[in-house]
Amino acid sequence: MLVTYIEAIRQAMDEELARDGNVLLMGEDVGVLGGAFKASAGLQEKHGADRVVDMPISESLIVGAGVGLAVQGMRPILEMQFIDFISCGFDQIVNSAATLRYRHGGQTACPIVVRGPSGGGVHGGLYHSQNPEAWFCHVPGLKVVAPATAYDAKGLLKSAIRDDDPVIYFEHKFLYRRIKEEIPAEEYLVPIGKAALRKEGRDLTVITYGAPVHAVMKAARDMAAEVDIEVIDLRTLLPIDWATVKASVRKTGKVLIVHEARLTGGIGGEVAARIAQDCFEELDGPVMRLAARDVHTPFAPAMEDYVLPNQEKITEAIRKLAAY
Amino acid sequence: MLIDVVMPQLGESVVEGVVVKWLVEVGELVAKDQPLLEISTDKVDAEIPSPSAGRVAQILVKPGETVPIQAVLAKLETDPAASRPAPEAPPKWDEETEGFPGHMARKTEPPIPAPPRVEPSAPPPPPPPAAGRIRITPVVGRMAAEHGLDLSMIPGTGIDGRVTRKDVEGYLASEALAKETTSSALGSETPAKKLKTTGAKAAPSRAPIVSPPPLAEGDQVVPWTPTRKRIAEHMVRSKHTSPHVHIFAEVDMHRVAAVRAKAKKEGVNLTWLPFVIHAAAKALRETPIMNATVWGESTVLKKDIHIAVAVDTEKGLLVPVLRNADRMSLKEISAAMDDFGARAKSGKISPDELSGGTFSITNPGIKGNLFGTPIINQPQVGILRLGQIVKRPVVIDVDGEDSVVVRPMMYLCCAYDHRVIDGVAGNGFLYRVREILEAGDFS
Amino acid sequence: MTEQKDRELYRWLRLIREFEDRISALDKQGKLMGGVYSGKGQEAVTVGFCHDLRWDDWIFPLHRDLGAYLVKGADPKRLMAQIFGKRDGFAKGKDSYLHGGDLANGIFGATSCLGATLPVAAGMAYKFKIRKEDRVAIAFFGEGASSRGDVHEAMNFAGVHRLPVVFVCENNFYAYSTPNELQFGVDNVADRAVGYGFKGEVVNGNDLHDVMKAAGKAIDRARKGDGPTLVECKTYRYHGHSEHDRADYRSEEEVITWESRDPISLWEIYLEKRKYDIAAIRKETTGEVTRIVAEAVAFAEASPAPEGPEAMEDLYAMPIDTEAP
Repeated sequence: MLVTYIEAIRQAMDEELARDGNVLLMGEDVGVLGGAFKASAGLQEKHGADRVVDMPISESLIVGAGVGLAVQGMRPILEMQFIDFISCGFDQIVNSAATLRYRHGGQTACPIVVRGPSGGGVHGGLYHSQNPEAWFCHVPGLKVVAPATAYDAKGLLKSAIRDDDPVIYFEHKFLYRRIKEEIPAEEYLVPIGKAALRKEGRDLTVITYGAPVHAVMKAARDMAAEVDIEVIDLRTLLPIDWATVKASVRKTGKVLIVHEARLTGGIGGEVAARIAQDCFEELDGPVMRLAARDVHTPFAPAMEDYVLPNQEKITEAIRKLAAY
Repeated sequence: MLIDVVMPQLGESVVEGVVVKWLVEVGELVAKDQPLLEISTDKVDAEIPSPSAGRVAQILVKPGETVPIQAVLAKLETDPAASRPAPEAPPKWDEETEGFPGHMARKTEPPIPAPPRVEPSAPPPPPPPAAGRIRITPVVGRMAAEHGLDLSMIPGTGIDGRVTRKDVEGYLASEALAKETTSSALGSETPAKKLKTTGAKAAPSRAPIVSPPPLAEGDQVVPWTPTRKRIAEHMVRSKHTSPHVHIFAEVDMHRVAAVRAKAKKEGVNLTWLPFVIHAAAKALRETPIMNATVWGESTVLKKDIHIAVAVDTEKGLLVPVLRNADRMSLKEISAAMDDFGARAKSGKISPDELSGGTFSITNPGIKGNLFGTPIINQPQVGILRLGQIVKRPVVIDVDGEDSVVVRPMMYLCCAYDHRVIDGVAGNGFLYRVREILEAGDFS
Repeated sequence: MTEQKDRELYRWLRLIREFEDRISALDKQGKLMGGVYSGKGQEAVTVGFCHDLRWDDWIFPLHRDLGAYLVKGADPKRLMAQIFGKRDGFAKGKDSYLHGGDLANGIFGATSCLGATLPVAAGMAYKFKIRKEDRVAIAFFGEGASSRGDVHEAMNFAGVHRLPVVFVCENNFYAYSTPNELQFGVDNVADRAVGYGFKGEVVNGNDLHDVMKAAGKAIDRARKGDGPTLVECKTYRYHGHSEHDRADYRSEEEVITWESRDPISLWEIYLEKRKYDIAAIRKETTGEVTRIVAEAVAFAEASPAPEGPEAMEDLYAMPIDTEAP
């Protein structure tokens, strides 16, 4: 069936709510309104107000309550209306949820999913454009995923809901209604921790995730006559599928990492360091990164374009690396 | 002047909207902010207020139609007296989640003047590379150590003359080629063994690197496309891997010509190629060693006969595979080839149809010249190439008397992998193909 | 109340006191690592709220509520091993003191961001409510934590859904060194309950009778589906914030005043007034609690210390290999 990215998310939640009575959805305006972006449209009507819960504007509570429910064997999906607001629930995620199993010596699991719209390119300004995934990749005990396709959005969310560890699920609002994709009518899962090889190539590897996957794929197609590019979509950012990353680096010897989150302290730094350490003797050029400039994501279109990666910048970076 | 009424973006994720109904008609006078139409998006339903006072000049989108954001919905003729360029609409604010935008602005103090902008001084130019120093990457260092290479012998094609991995691979390939020529001349080393020692490390081999050619005015450098690179790599690898033996048969095609002529009368247009495919498939069934692939140091005798047939297309050479060719009638083969040809032109051949061949036939067509020596399509072990078919006087036996007659003749070349196939089998196969073609029985 | 229950309550107060005193001594003897947060002086609060709970009710103790652990059913031996950072502790050595709960007994381990357990308790109570289970959650917090947003968010949510949760504020007058008047502008933390739409009550946290009466009403209300209650227990910690805090921000007079209202002494007066044989009870109880705590210490000292690589266990449901070849 042909679905948008956001519809894939809605279907994943709908199916899991129907499949498992322990699954709940909690968040601001997720119930009657169906979510600010309509990701949960119709779910409260179908699954009841007890299970699709309109919460007060209290991100810390939303996550904390999720932990309490998880201890009781429930599997709450906790929506941040914009992922920018996840910082208000930061302590509950990193100190409460991520440590729960560890500080209890393995006595309990913490099957929560914290999800919400991230990403820029929509003129959303400072508080509606953030990509804070790197903060959470620094936290042991969490898993972090960022799907780029409708297929993955559904399959990864279903896997996240069934996972016994806390999963932070970054959906990209730019993709919500901009991509439509044929997905299977029958049920499927996408495993957490597995990258997707989006395109095989021999000259150079681009490692990316989230919305830039689409720009990178387009660049790879447009540049096919000059350079044969391999594209890896990480999909899961914690834990990263190092086996897939390293196999590709060993094949091509050249790596460009592209992400929409800021350069400094971003995932790209970790990926680059790991490659430099483990694949040094395979490298045929410097490990390069293309990311958002080290500034907030501004509102006015020209400034936003200047700050975020786009196909033009990707093409330029690929050319530079290919020529090295 | 005419101004546009556009589909607004109501919400950050919204990409399109539906026109529900128009509240005004063409020719109607409208006031600024008067509702013009109702729209519906994934997130909201809204009335669109007129951007200006004026007369509705055109309505461009009918109710029920879906259009992308920023699409022009209608045009307004503004009052000429008040005609001024419409101020650019302020960017949309997500009121659903943010409330009224002016609310924050009113609270803020007057802006503080920004400090003067300081242009960063231009970075100093990078120091020129030290003379005599060889610039390499880590992988090149490792490869040089592994192969005992003197990197100063390898011209670098990277930035600032850096020696890249491709440069080393190319150098190794050219070296291997040189060595092979020498060693096979001496007969000191078997090709199979050579594959093990040089093939593993140097793969994928590339064209030998020579120092950059002197370019004259008007010379054109055409970098290889990925397809070209793959072909080049495959050809070099095949030549490195298989010791090719080329043998030729001169085939009298007059009975084939007779069958073609008969078919033509029945309205069926048959080319020469299906006959050769048919004959080859029959001969392969009788000579299993020719219908084989090489796997490591083993030969795999293939049960099914899948013949890869080279087709020249606008997008380059394509080699679709005719599955179970030995079980197909002549007409079926002909139909399948026509189908491949048509689909190759439109680029609709699936990758599955291009793999799995067990033997190859290449037909360069009417301009294919007298004969040619084809390169084996790895990991197969044999290939046939059709030569030009020309009428020639030939001596035949008529009732015990030598007679000269005119016959359509073709030189048919067979290449086989001498690692796997001995002369008896190779020659026997080609002889059999000739026999079948000359017998003219294609039932 | 029956004599048996009166004596049992006395036994709990004395066991906690013995445990606290032993830990302080062990700390001074250099046998413990990390922070030690004595709850000595506050025993009546945890005994009063935990004693009549059911085994499947849940408590969310704060960092100095080891008494709550004991009364709710935690094994004293394992609790001592937890404090020693040994493999037999609830956290298997991964964190100290009261960060590792005993989930089988409905005891949740707190983080150091005090008050962060209140949203967790509210979430759990939400489950009790939607599943129509007549269980309750008791969330303890200090008056210091009451300044945190988590406390507000949790109480607000509990008020909206009338959740079966009791918020127990242990007001011991100091958040580390900061006195009440620098923490909030209301007279009592319990005064805030009205802002959340439920009842708030202030009780003498050193008087076990007062505490038990308030606890009984609040727990009953929660269990019947009548919603949350905020109970503020005015009490006092004899020691500093931790054993490393001399607490000289408090006057000697103030400390003496509170010591003269000691919860155990008050209960002994009550037992005497009931004409029980207080000398015999005291002797018997002393023997019992000394033995239990001594056994707990022996167990904890003998418990194996975890090995370095055990640090990587219990992080994820399925171990993750971060060292791909």
